[in-house]
Amino acid sequence: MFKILTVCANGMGSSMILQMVLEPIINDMKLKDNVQIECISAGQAAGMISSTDLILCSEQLHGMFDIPEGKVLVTIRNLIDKNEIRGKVHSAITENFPQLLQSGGK
Amino acid sequence: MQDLREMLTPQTVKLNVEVSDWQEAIRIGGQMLIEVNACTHEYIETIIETVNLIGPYIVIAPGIALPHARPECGAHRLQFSLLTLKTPVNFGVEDLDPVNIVFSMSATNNKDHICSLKRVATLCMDEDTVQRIIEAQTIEDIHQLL
Repeated sequence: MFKILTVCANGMGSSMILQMVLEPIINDMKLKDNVQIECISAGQAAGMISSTDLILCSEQLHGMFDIPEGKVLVTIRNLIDKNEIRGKVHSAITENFPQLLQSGGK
Repeated sequence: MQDLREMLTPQTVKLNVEVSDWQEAIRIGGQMLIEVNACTHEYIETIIETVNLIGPYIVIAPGIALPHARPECGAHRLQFSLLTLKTPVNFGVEDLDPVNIVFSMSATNNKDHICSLKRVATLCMDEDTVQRIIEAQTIEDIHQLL
């Protein structure tokens, strides 16, 4: 299962909004069955990043947590802009995880 | 559970308010939550402290802020308040400033607010709705959008 984490300061606001906007985008990409999305706080993120493939957070939070090698971070400016999120997530997946799009998931 | 429309009452909506800075905007939005016993004074001060510490994490979209803290910081129950600003103020996010819509939120766990948060996010996704929130003069104008 491909894992996406949405992260914000306390896991209650931005990360949940990102998850809400991202879910239909993942459905549109026909990846619903192969992708799991979870939202958490930056404090919890540290312990979960190792089992995550893609991390999304707002630009304001960039730098609040370490991104280990092999993990891909996507920063979002406008958290409710479907086009921005779709565009950035699509290019991140195409660039870093092309096998996800080809095989329809891991 | 109350929906957003029921939560936005004359006690929790203030329109066209003049503020001098982002701290005052958070305090006025927060004061409405305190007055309906939705959270403590500390909950609101925690939001301001956190912004000072890590930056304006509460600005979610151009012109829109969602002040909130962790439930354990002093949230009593799920509640939203809405404050619109007569003169927009900067929160310190270059691309998203200035802010003129402030939805303050208190939530007691990480589940119960999802439905109303989704409602707020959906409202804010529509440019026309955002414009009507900014121009709203009365609570009826807001209720018409909900």
